[in-house]
Amino acid sequence: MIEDIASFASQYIYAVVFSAVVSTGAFVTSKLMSTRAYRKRTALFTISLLGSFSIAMGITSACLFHLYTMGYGAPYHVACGDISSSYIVAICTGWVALMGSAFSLTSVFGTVNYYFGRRIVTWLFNVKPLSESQARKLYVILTSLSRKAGIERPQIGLIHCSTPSIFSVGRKQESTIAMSVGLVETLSDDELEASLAHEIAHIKNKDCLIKSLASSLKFAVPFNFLGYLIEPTIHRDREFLADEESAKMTKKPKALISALLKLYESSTMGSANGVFTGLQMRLLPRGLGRWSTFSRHPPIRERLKRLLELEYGSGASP
Amino acid sequence: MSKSTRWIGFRPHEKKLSKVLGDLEADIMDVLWRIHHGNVKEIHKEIGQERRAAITTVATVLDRLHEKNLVERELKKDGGLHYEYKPAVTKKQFEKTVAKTVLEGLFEAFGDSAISYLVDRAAIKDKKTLEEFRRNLEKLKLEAKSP
Repeated sequence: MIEDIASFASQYIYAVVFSAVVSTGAFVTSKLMSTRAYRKRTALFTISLLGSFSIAMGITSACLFHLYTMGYGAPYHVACGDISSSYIVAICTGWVALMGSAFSLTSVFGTVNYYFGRRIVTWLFNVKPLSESQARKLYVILTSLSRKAGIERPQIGLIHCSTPSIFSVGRKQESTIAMSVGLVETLSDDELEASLAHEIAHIKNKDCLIKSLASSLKFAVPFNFLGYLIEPTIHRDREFLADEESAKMTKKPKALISALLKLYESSTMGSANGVFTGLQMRLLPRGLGRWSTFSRHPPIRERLKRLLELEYGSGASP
Repeated sequence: MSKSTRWIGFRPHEKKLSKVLGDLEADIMDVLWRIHHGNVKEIHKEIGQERRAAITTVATVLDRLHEKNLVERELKKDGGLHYEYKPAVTKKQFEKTVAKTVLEGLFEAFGDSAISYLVDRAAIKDKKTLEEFRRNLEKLKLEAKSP
């Protein structure tokens, strides 16, 4: 029996070591990539997280299969009073169930968000659909940007709130860009166009799905601590990519810089009624969130720096 | 201002309206009482003459004031989407509500001492007013005793 326990423990250690090696490899490779290789880095990290998850699930499932086929199933050992093996089976089964459930649950949330995001957001933030006749100017800008991005024109949803905020939800074929009245009344036309282009880039790049998948995998492989570095990096890269694509789409990086600064200023005041601005989203405790390594949103200074580089070339700084 | 007044926190060492509101909140209320109504751009322009604040910050603070039921807003769709803001209470009503809330709190906590100080401070000599004060104090004491 001792050998069985040792064998199981060693298999488990293999799972941890393999996952760590895969993630470390991905992390080191990402450091060798160009700062702006957002898509490649996302692909590399997603594959490494999927690899970690598959290895962990594979090895644990194999152990479980081995224990059952060798006749150490729970009913046999309960009958024989052999508690140790029952424990192994229970731990093994529990572990597979836990990882599987975490992955399934977060994946379901991600998929639901991707496919039914529009309806959820409408209900959650009390977003009122805005018709074309009510906001002709916004729809003209949106039509032009959607055409450039090659996606179906999103619907505009209005949040009744003075605090400026904007976010997108949905997929290429069916999406909503929700914005507060405060955003429309405080940003200039160019700034609004730049903000809309940023959200359209998110929709075009399927960021909603990618971010959900990264979060699912992070929760599904809790022992892989590098996941806690990789997942926020994916989130930050998607923001940088959306900034870059917005600047290229509108050819007005300065407008996005100005919009970001305005949103940043209001976000430092704190939201009045719970509606968040992109810049305020933090899932980590406030103190930890300040460590940009663990923060899902890139620091404003870095975003401005990269946008200024697009306008003036490398070496520019805010 | 019929809704909750729980947001009223009294800071005796601050100046004027800042005793109960944030600095920018106080400035915005002053502007709204002066101009009666306006959109965020107009309010920001007025504020800009007194202090530097981004228009987005003014908008966020207007949200807070709306939450506190001090500001009403109406969505306008002509000339671009925007809110038209106006004060939900007059300056007099606001001052009365604050004074009532703060004094009730003081009477509840420090009954006799608060009344005695108020009488000294206001130098009330009028018998009728003093009698009214005494009655109100008794009423408060009874309320405090009742479960």
